[in-house]
Amino acid sequence: MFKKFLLIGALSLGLFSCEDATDIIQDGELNDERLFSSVENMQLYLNETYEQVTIQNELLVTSLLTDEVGLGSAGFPSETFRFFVVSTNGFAAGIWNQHYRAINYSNRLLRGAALYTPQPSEVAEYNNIIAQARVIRAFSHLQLLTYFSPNMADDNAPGVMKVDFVPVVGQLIPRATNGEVFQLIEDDLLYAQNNLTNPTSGANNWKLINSVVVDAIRARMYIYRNNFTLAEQYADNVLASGIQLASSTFTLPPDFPLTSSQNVSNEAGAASFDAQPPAGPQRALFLMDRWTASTTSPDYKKMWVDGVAQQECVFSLARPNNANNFSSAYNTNQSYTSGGPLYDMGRNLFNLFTQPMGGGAQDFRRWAFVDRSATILADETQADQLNEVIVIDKYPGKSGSHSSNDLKVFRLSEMYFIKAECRARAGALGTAASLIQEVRQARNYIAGATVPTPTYGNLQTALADILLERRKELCFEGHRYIDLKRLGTAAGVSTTDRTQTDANNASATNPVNISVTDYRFTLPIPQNEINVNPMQQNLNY
Amino acid sequence: MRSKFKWIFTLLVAFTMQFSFAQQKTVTGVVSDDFGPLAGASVVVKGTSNGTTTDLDGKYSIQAKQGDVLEITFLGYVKSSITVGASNTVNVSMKEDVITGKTVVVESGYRSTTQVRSVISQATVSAKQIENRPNVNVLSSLQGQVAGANIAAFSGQPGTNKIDVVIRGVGSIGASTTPLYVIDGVPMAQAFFRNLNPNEIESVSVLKDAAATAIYGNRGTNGVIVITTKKGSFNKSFAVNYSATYGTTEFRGDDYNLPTAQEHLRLQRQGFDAGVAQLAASLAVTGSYLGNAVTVDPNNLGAFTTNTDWQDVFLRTGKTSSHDLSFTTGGENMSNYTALGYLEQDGIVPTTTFKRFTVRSNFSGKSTNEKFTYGLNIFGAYSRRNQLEQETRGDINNNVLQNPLTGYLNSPRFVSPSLYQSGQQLFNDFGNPVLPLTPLMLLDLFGRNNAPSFFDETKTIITGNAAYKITKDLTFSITTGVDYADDRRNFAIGPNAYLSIVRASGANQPFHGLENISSTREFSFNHVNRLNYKKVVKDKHTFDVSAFTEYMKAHRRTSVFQQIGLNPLVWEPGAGTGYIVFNPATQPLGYRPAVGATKADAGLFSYFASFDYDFDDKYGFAATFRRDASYRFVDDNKWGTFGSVAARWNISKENFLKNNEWVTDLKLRASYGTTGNQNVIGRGENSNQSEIFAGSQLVRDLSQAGTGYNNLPSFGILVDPATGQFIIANRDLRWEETAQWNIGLDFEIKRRLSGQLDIYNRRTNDLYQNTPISASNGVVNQASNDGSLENKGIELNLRYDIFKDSEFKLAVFGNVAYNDNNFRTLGSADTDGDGILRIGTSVQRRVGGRLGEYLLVPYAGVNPANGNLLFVDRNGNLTENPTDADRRATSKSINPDYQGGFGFNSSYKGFFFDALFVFAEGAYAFDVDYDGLMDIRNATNFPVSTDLFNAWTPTNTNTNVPSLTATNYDAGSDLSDRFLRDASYLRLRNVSIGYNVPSKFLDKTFLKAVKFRVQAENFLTFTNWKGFDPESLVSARTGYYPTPRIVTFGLDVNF
Repeated sequence: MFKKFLLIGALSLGLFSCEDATDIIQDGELNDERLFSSVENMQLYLNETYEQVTIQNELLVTSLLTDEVGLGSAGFPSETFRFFVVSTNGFAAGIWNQHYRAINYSNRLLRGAALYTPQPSEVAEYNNIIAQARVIRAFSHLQLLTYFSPNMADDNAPGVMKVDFVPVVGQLIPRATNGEVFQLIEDDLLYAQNNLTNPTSGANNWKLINSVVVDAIRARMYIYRNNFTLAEQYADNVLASGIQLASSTFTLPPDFPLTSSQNVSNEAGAASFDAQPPAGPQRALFLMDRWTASTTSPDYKKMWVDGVAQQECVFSLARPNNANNFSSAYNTNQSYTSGGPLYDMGRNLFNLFTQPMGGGAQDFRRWAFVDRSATILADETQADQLNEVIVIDKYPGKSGSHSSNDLKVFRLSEMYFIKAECRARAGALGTAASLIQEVRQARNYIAGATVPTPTYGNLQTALADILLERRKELCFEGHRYIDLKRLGTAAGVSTTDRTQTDANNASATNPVNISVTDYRFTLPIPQNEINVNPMQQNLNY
Repeated sequence: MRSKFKWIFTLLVAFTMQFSFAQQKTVTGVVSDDFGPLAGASVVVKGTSNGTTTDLDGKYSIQAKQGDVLEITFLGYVKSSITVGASNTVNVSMKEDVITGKTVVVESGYRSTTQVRSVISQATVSAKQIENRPNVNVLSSLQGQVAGANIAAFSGQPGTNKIDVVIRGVGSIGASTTPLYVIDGVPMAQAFFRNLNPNEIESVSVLKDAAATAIYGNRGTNGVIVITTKKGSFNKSFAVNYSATYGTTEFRGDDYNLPTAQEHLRLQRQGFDAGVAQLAASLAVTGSYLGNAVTVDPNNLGAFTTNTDWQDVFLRTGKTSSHDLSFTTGGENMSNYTALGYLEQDGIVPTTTFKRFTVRSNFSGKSTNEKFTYGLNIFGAYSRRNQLEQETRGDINNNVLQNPLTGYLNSPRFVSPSLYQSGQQLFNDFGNPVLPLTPLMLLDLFGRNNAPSFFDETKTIITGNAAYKITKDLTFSITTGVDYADDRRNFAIGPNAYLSIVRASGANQPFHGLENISSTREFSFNHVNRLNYKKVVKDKHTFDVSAFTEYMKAHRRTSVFQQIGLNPLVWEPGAGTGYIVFNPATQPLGYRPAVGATKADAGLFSYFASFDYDFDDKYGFAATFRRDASYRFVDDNKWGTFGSVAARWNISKENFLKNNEWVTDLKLRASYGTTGNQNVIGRGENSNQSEIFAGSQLVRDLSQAGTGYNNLPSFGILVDPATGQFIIANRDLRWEETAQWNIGLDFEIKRRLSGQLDIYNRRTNDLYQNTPISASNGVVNQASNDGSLENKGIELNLRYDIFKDSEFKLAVFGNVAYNDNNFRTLGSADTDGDGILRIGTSVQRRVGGRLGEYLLVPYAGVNPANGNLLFVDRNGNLTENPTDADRRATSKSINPDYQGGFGFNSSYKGFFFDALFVFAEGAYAFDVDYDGLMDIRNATNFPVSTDLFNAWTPTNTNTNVPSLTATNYDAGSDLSDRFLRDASYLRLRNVSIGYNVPSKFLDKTFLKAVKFRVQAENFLTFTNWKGFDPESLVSARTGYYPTPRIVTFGLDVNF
């Protein structure tokens, strides 16, 4: 008995060796050595690096901190919308963290690439992958400067962390100057220019980084830096790339409103999202509006529903219809009055679209950016959160999904505005005016009408008109915030332009509008970063 | 446990027994307590192995001779020693010793000792205090009964896992703070107790100081809870015990002053008239709501009649019932306890229920020569629970459209439930979701098959032990166990549900509907080898030395599949019928079926030793030493070394106190030791994953395959499934170490007042944290060891027998624990070294400050001049416009300063009346619901509190409710402590009244004992907290499932 038991005991000891319990590698682990062993795998890593790039925090914070939106019928007031911004602000952290994540991914890809030596036949593709990673790194740095640098035009002003390596945890990275960060961006873009082999035309080319995208980044970067010569040079490159402004004219369905000031709110059929309204303007808008709509919809509308063609997109971040639902940022379920609008269009912005464009031209953006189900009050001073819902339709979904839309990062219109601004700065006010006219003409939907060319008496009038057109054309695309900060004073615009009824409250901490020189036009360096990586906080935070 | 004690005792004396039966006679008697006969008490002739146990009538029969001393022991009672006289009958009345557990054999799973020789700080709750309480989870029944154990449920869903047990303060930040659970000697990896039947539990011991927990060094940092299940006894006749309980569960209500429909309309009108523009579209102003579905004449609000009490719609009074049947029997060499249990409990939300069937068979055996003993405990449970989706998805806690618990507060009474007939009708009438649809959408959740969420769980725990006495002093033993749980979930949003109809419409499809079927299996195996040497030298020196090895291995497997597109004609949850085949040509990609699986393995290995020395029950010394390895760590960090030393002085055994009438017992204890924690990541509120699996790959930089940009395949950084964040390898990850000293005093005065006093200090070094790191690393947190946190406190436990010798008996008891928690160092995250780290908008860490300390601007009330809110700025001046810079440390957190319990036990003849109160003081939490209810701007779609009738107006200036048009309302919510409310409470946790039918009435029946009882749980609560439930360790509360009030009637029968 005793022996038997000892034997069992000895067996039980022997069965369970210590290593069996303590040295456990989980199934399916993949380390860098195995991963970076082919160009194909590098491409797979690049696919994930692209996935980390987003501008959706920027889009929303721009809407909330300017005059683009009011509270929608399903929305709850947020602190940011009330201009309550502190160092723990979620959007600031979101922009900061997301772009540094994309940068980290790029740097990991570059580090991993060093582990693999390509065959001669693979070198071009290998370099093309590296070039794309470097453009992502450059673009993210540029976005960070846009929101966190107090003054992008000053190379000596504080910028952001310049990260061109995979840091080790605990490594302190100082806040570089704008000049230092721009140097990195320029180097990356130069490498990309020389090594990118992605096509600049063809199916889906605008969803990957190619040399035209590099020029667009440069154009934007230099205009933000007030380097008008280079900005114009690169804008010209994009304008010459073959991409055309998308047209808004089309064969109007019966009863389509002939003026953008027409109110179609309460027409029959407005209540149903899916069913085709029986007749009248609602039916006409339904035909134009839906992604299921007839192919007679104008190119400009097709672009917003992510139709198959490139239209005037220079670079879009692809968001296929099972991807994260950015449009849910504005409308919970779909861009429809009953789709749970969290934020709707600011009334002052809306009013701009209802203005005639002159020469009999009418602004198609009134119909493209505002859903047909919107309720517009005749007397805007009576508006409140529920009774006026100007449903934002800039992200109307696409075939198969109501809430996924590609994020348009660069569109040709912006290049027109950049060039116009450069021309105006150079004193060529007439050229600037005709560039603005070209964009406006492309937004007119009345066949045969010609939008008159504006006349600019001086630089300020020119900049004011450019800023106005930027406000209208680039709304909900993340421009208004930096545009007001950068151009506001020069254009004679002193504050944001929210109406009282769009504002949720009014007090010293939660004003209706803020000045374009307000400290809140630079976001706070996130508290979490300051905690672990001490650096100079932006003023007033 | 008592049987184990018996045979341990038997072994001890086996070699010194004398076989002299010459003058033996048969002594019989009845062992009873205040309430009647005690079944299963152990009766031993002192100094011999001659022993027996009492039968169900409390009767025993034993061979003894005049002059022998009978020692009678029973768990939870003071040991009785009675000298056999001339009479052949010896009746013994046992004195209960419930709270101090004074004579309880102290069992820490690995070591057993007597109370006198114990050097540890522990508290034991015996079966009497747990049995037949109508709680699904035994942890709920422990609340208030153990000094220093803070037990708080943050869900009242029957069968919930959301019960926090924090022993001696929160000792870690990101890592597990869950104690180790040891069941029948086997440490468990899973800390889920919904399937354990509380009625099968013999005792629960909570081990607190390092002397007690160090032997569990690798898992004992957060305290140890030792659960022992009931056993049979040798030489005992067959007995049957049956208990039944029936009762109701109901909602306790709130204190928010929700408005009636009329009041709501008046508030809307009043607000609008005062100038609140947001109310322009409200019913009282426009006369129409939900597109004319609700109408009123704005000039005659009084004529409006609808007044729906949504509480009656969304909440119910549920039923609860349980049946327990057990058998015990014992022969010469084997004994058995077998129990069957069934419990059914309704939640207070109509779609929530819990049903459980349990079976247990505990078997003990020994060889004829008593050298070899063994035991096997087999437990199986099958349970089904219907839950709200909110129970496993915290992110919809405050979603008024998906969680009836917030929805009830947010449903205006002027809406009639008759506006809802079906999901399709709702969609046809009102379209897509909007806030005014809140109550109607919630109604849809209750429709048949609209939101089924049920779990079928099978759980098996098998533990076994065996010991062989190699020599008189040397014993080799093993303890081994497996724990297997298979939890299968079925979740669906049925095709007829409103949400499905909305989604189908959005995707331009005829049907939507989503069904998700998932399975989680966890298996753990634990095995301990032990060699024990015990020697008594010269009758006074007792040495007890053991060496151990422990092996632990655990496996987790999960799988899931999801189908979107259910045909309402044939679909039933889990049946697989009605699955519409995915067609990429006509259906969006989102309708693609999804599949997934995960696999994780974990393991621990340890060797350790313990040393105990006793001198004449007067002085004692104990030490442990351990080396532990964890699968989580690498290189030099893999192994941790822990140990403890402890000593005691039984002062009352000294000559100067020996016969003292006043001080009848006095013992001083002191201990110091270290324990380790390797569960890097604490279990998330919604997670069903045992902590041992979380963070299994934190030391390696790895990649995973996934879906990248534009749905292309990709490789990316590995995401930790437990935290959802990228893993940046941390090869320095190591054991979190807690060092604790404890000084304790056990005392008894005049055999009436007994108690324990403990003072402790626990310092956790190398704190696991999700340490903030620079965003340049791609993530903003990394699991690492950083900083140190200290908990210090005092625990006092008292029991006083006021009347114990009369027919009327009354004893009062109570315990209170004070714990102060503060940071010693903040670690590397505090790069500027100023000792302050702001980690959230309203929370900061500060050296000397407590964990989770709120950082807020003091709210100073209403400005009588204009009705605006007033605050105190950083310079101490009143301001209407506070800024972020005016925030300051509040010294307040969610963790209470004081908590404990008190109560009484009383009896008169067969009647008994017991009560237990629990309390917590100094806990603060944000009342998110009240914040919303006090904001008049919400009144269009949501009820607001009638407290707003007292809002400031030019004629009502002396009020604490700001003007309805206060221009700085939001500063109160964004910055200040206005809605940080005191969540202290005093609760009548349990009260029970009952009657033991006297045995004389039962003599002629087959029944041996009959007892009736009426019990109530959570019957009364005194608190300033306005919400459902003050009892929760969640700092910003909304939408949690409140603990119900349960009232039951029960019957116990023995035969």
